[in-house]
Amino acid sequence: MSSPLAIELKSVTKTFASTVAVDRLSLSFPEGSFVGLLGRNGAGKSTTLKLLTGLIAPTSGEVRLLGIDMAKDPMSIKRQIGTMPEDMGLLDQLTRDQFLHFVGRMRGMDEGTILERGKELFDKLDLHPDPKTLIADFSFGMKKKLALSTALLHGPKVLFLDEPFEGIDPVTSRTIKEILLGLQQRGVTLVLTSHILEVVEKLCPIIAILDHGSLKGFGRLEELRAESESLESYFVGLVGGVKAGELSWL
Amino acid sequence: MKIGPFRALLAAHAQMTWNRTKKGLGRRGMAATALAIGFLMSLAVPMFATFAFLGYLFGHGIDKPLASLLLGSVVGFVACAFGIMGGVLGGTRQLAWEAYRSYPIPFRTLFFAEMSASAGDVLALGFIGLMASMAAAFLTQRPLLLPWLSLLLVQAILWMLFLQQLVGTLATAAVRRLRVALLVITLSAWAGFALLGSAVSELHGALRADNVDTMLTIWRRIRPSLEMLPPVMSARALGAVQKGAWRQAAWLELPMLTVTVALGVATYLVLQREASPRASHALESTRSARLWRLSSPVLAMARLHAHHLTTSLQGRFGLVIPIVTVVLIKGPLANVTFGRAWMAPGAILYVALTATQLQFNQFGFDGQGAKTLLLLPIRTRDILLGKAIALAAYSAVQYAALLALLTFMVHPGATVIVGSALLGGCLVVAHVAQGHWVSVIFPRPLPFHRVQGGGLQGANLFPLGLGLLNAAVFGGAYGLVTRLAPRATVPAAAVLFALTLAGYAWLLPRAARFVERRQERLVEMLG
Repeated sequence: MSSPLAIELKSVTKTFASTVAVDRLSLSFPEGSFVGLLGRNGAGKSTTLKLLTGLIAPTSGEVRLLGIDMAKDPMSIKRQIGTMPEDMGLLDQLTRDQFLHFVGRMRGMDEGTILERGKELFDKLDLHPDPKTLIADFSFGMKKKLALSTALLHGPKVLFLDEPFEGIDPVTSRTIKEILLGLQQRGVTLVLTSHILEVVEKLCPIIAILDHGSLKGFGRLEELRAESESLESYFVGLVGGVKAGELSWL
Repeated sequence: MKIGPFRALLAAHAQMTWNRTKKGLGRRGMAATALAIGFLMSLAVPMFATFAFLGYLFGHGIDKPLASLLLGSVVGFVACAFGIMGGVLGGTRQLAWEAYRSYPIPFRTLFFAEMSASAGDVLALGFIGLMASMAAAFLTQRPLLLPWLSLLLVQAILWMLFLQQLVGTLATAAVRRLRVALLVITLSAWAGFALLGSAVSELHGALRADNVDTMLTIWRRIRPSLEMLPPVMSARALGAVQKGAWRQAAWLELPMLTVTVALGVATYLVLQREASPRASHALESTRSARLWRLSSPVLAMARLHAHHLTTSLQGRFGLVIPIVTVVLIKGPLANVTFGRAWMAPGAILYVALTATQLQFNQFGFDGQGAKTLLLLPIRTRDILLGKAIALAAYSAVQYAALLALLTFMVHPGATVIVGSALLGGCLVVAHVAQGHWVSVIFPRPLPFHRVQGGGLQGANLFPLGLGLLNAAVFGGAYGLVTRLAPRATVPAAAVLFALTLAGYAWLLPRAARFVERRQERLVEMLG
């Protein structure tokens, strides 16, 4: 018997003024999937993640997570998902602990659990700034780690990560990969976007490739790799646009 | 075509301002703003006409000492008033300095670009317009004085721009340390009252009694001081030129030139220090990293918003406003407060107006963090209510401070104090309720380390207009009651406050639904 669907997009379209950001996108993944959402800049990856997390509403079509219609009961969905948005969406004027505490309490967690989980997360991700330092003064990588920590804090059933490895040092990157693989083994559904195809190849058994808001490629990694020597070759072959040659003034 | 860095900076500033305004307001919003600006301009016509009339009179009698004295005094006073007002209102630092640090641009280029850009601010344009209308009428009488009059007016414009930068920078620096700012302003206010109190009360008495002799005595007393003012001496140079006394004219022009150069150098040095990579723009780091007790989502939101209000420079500046208001009432505006009964409600209306940028942009301090709020499993209604509680508490502190100071200094009476407090309550609730809508229609990030972002342009004018409308409606109702049935002031104000609260309770779920429908706009504009 196949697993129930964790994510379902039914002919979803999203337009901004005259621009079609996502065009009749239909996708579905069972619970426990680990999906790599790929595409060039402006392909519609972040918009798709915003649609999936309820930050924006589709112009047409239907978004369902864990069997729940996003338009009808967004609150139930928000309780069960974790999100690390593209720009992290942190409250810059709080400290690390204040922000974690705020997010945890807003999710209905008790103080003891927040502190315990926070300590474990910060130890694993090596996030130990001065306790009084505001998030605004964190480095980019530190902000990423904090955003990831708050996305994981409540133990989400579905996790959305927009470019989680951008600006992260190699050691922490390895730690994050291990955490994510561990989550998948425990049945958490994960969707991540990344431009680092080597990382996606190592982590994601399922790949979806967007181009100009439409689904250009979709399938299991090994199937896609069978068509090409690597994921990068497959990706570039699919979306095209490589412009070789030297710059005229160099 | 090769474009120098100065022009490139100005072009980038103009393009960014235009793009931001277009994105923030939308096409219909742009049309509405253009209409609103046109309307405001038409309201300003009498002011321009007055200055043109004055220009005509000054031009006609420039060879008489009184004309040059009045011309110089008007130009100097208006330049200083606009400069200080611009600095306090935040019409400073137009360019995105931090973004330009990585480019190989000499500081002087940045400085001149900043000065040119700040001349395009609404307030500066208004001042330039007034000076231009006065100059045009003046020159109909004395066309040959064009170069010398231009020298006076261009310097006045420079004074206005320099003062705006200096006052803005000093205000920001002072408010960065709130307690120090409060202490300094309070001490200055006391000193000001002590020094000016007798002169103001004397003048006040003279006006009240219509005592021409006393007024003439005061005029004779202050006239020698006015004669020494650089703008007055520069205006006297016009008369000297008219008589062909070139050498005398040059000497008379010297003090104004000296002060202009001194102000320019001071502004240059202050901005250079501010723009230096060594300058710290961080607020005092959190006094304590203590975790908050959050008993409910509403109170958590209130706590978060209160934290933003009390740690941002703009929020802190608002806490100084009650003292500034009392200083204005006791000092420069002592003669236009229409008596003791109107002093407190008038002050409340003024303080309420100064808070509109915070009340009508409720997600501004959240910035990208607005996404976190929208992603959390909390009701939009709770988010709005939490913000409303924080804003109401913030205004309550402002009003309490203001009314306490007024009680102590002008003894307006219990009825006026309670009535004014209730009037303030009505205004806060009305602003916050309307702000739930406006915050989603015109969202824009609010800077933490500057007194105000965006200056007096575009989307910032709309909240001010709406605030004025509220002041007219609620202030008008209050005024009507105090005139028709003075004894019913407090009960009537209490009923009005209760009605406003009931209106808020009715509007809150509707506002929440509106925010949910338009949350995309928040993500787009803040994220």
